[in-house]
Amino acid sequence: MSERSALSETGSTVAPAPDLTPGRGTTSHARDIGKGFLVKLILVMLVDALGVYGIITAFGIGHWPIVISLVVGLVVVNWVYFSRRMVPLKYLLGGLIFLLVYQVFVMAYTGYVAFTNYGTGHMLTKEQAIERLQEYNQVRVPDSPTYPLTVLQRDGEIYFGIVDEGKALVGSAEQPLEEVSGAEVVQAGETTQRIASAPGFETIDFAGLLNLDQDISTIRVPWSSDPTSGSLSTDFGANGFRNQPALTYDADEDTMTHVETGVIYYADDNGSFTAADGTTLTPGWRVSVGFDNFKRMITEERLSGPFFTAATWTFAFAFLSVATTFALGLFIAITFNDERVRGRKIYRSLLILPYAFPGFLSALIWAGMLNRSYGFINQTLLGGAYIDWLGDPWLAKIAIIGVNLWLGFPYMFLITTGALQSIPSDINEAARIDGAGPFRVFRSLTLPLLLVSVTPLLIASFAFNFNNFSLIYMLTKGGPVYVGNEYGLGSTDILISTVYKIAIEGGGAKDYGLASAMSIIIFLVVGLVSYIGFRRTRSLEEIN
Amino acid sequence: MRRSIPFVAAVVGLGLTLTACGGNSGTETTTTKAPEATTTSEAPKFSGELTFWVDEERIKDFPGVASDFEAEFGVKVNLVQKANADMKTDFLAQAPTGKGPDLIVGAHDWVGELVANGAAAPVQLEDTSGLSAGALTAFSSEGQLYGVPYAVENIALIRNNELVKETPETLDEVIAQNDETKAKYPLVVQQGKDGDAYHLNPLMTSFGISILATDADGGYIGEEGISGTGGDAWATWLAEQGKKGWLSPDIDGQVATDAFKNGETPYIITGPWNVVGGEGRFAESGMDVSVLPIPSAGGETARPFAGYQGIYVSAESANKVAANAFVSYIARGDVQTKLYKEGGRIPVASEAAAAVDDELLKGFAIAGQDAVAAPGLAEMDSIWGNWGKTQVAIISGKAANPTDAWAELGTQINDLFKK
Repeated sequence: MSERSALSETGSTVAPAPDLTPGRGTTSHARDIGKGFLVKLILVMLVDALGVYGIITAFGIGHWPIVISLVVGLVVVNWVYFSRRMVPLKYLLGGLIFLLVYQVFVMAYTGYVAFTNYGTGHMLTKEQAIERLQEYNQVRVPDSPTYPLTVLQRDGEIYFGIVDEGKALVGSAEQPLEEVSGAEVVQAGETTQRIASAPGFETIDFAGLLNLDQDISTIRVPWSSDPTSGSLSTDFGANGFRNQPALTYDADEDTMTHVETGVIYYADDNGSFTAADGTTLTPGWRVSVGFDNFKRMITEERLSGPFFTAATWTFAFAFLSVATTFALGLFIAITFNDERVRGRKIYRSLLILPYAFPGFLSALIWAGMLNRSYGFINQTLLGGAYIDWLGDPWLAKIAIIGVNLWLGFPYMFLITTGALQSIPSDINEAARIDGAGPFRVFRSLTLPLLLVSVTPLLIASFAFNFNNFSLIYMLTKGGPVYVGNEYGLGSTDILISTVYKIAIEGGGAKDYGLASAMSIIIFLVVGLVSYIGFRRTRSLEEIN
Repeated sequence: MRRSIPFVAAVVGLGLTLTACGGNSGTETTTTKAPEATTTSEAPKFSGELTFWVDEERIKDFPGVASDFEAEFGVKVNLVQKANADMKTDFLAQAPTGKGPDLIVGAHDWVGELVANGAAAPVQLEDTSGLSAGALTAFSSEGQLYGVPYAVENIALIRNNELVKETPETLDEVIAQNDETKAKYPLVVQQGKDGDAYHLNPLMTSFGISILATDADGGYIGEEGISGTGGDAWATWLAEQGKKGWLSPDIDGQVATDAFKNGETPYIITGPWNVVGGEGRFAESGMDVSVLPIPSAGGETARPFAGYQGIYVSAESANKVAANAFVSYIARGDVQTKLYKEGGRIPVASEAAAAVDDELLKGFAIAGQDAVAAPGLAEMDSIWGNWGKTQVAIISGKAANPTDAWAELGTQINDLFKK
């Protein structure tokens, strides 16, 4: 519906004749003050209120990307719903916003991560990593006591006060500890003392500490003017500890130096501080690594082997799943399509059952039924056989395809039943008259006509099974596992469960960068297969 | 919202905590000056409350202690229940952004990964003498403490007293005992098709080997410790037991506990989570059980893994001061006693450990006297899986040559650390 003649609103003297056909308003219906407009106004107001609340909250915690996207989103929403020229967009905007947030953004972010080394040991920014390395390498000075500590304040600066060998010492991050005269000292423990107050200083208690703008646990007060003598830090303002850094950072050179050994660690391109002998300090930081993750899939043996095996198995699994479920579903559909079968309705309803249960539940139940010693299949059906259904690489693959057949044939049965009923029966009769047998009719007429309508669904089913994570995970967890594989990959892992194991369950090292790179490959494969499939479907349609 | 009473209490309480070493009131001399007026007249605006992630198992341990802490320090602790399986992953993802929780409860073997990712903050405690040395070592990495332990659990041998009354010294005798008992299994140890190295570890260590080699102070180093004659004997023994049938990949956790409950076996090797302190556990289902140390299979002491639970502080927490106060509070003996009373886990503070009065838990504590902490190195994730799978391959007879398969595992472990 495009906007028709928008009358100039000149406060026309003659009211236009009311046009009773719906949707033929004379003014823009974006501004038509009526019941509908009020409803729209209230709805948009609600959306705006929610958006403004979101902006304020995001602003409060300083999350700028969300603030900016919310502001832009709100402006666009209001403009679309109140402008005259945006009517078509009104119907698309909601979907578009969700598409952007849940699809486009996720894909873009995955694409970005694929080119970084984000993962275990590389989760931080470089600043954070340097800060953390220094924090982790503060070592307690040997045999130094714990000092009862008092937090003091003077001219807005925080001072720590302790009593060491009977002397009251006060210092700040800028000023090394020095004796302060006139401090009131009280007994803290049996042998230790603390400063209760010091002239010119304000004593801050625990509640006051929580109100400070700065985090006192990061303050390090130099012990003396000699930097090697260590520093004083505190836990929560109650105790002081004398620590020495084991690593020092040189900002000009961008190096870390180990105090004791003198080994120098240089910041390298892989996001770690590395010494000449190849040892690195953890944690490292996140850097862009270009196409490294994609290269690793091919060049690293412990990845490339399982990756290509998984890719082959994924194709085989997805193809066989579609082929077997379609064959069985079609066979049953044709059987029950024959009017001579009695009780068709009851059979049809019963056949839907496997499809009615949640897939992952069924997979779990099947995993139990396939247990070698206690499973229903071996114990009852096979009379106490000892077949290792889920522990043998080939049997596990067969079991997966079998279970997926059980889960998937009702769907194929449903869609083929529908498609069969839409094939006119006079075609069949014509073929019969021409002397074609039932198989000939099926091969030359029924199947091609059927495929016209169900091929898109078969492609969708292929794409779904290609990433059928829950079945694999619930039934075999990808096992039986290749003994010794670092990521715990196994012979029934499909690509998506391989990615999951590398990224989430990772053996020791989670590698989000690598997993994202693999996801992109999977996306490309599924996209390509679907594209080719749909191209072929078009050629099928020329039959009609 | 807040009354000022907690803050008066906080001021006084702070004075108390400063001197509290295990709760016994020492010689206290609080400041003679009146506390700052600001703290009592109006509620101070805190930089925030503490967010504390607790898993479904431990959520019942903390509410009492959290409210005591609030009364004493004036800081509210919000307990957020988080699935145990997601806790570490989500924390690692959120901690660097500064948007995650201030504190999490977790196992000691997370230390390696939390430190490698810079997610946990180092913790310095005023006084650690009241906590067990093993627990502190377990939460340390390269000499630095990263978490405060509060509970420990280990597995033990559980006996069904209705089937047998006496337990012999060694595992072989325990298995032989079944010639008279005539139960379906002499004992059960859960494995599952991917194996379960945790439950087999006490038997493995009784052959004088340990998964990783240790240095002079007993800390783990990045090198396998399973090869040699002990390892060969262990692999051979495993293959033999697999042939006997009581040790099998088909016996997973569910099968094992069901077999024990149904009286199909007099013994099971398992932890407190199946025995006591909850609906459906052995003690609560009215079984008459005893908790015993695990007998030796290879002649040396059987050492189960000690699993310590503790609290980590997020490195990017905006409330470090309050978070540090909370973990220091958790390290106190009287607080751990309360945690034990409410959660029923064996505490690590010696004062609280002395207060354990439950017979079954005492049995676990005795069985855990020779326990060693599981390694907390980041590579362990991968080692656990391979270790379990190798053992299952030997048990099920898939590994043609048990000793070779075992040696192969040693090579794999060493390769992991060489990377």
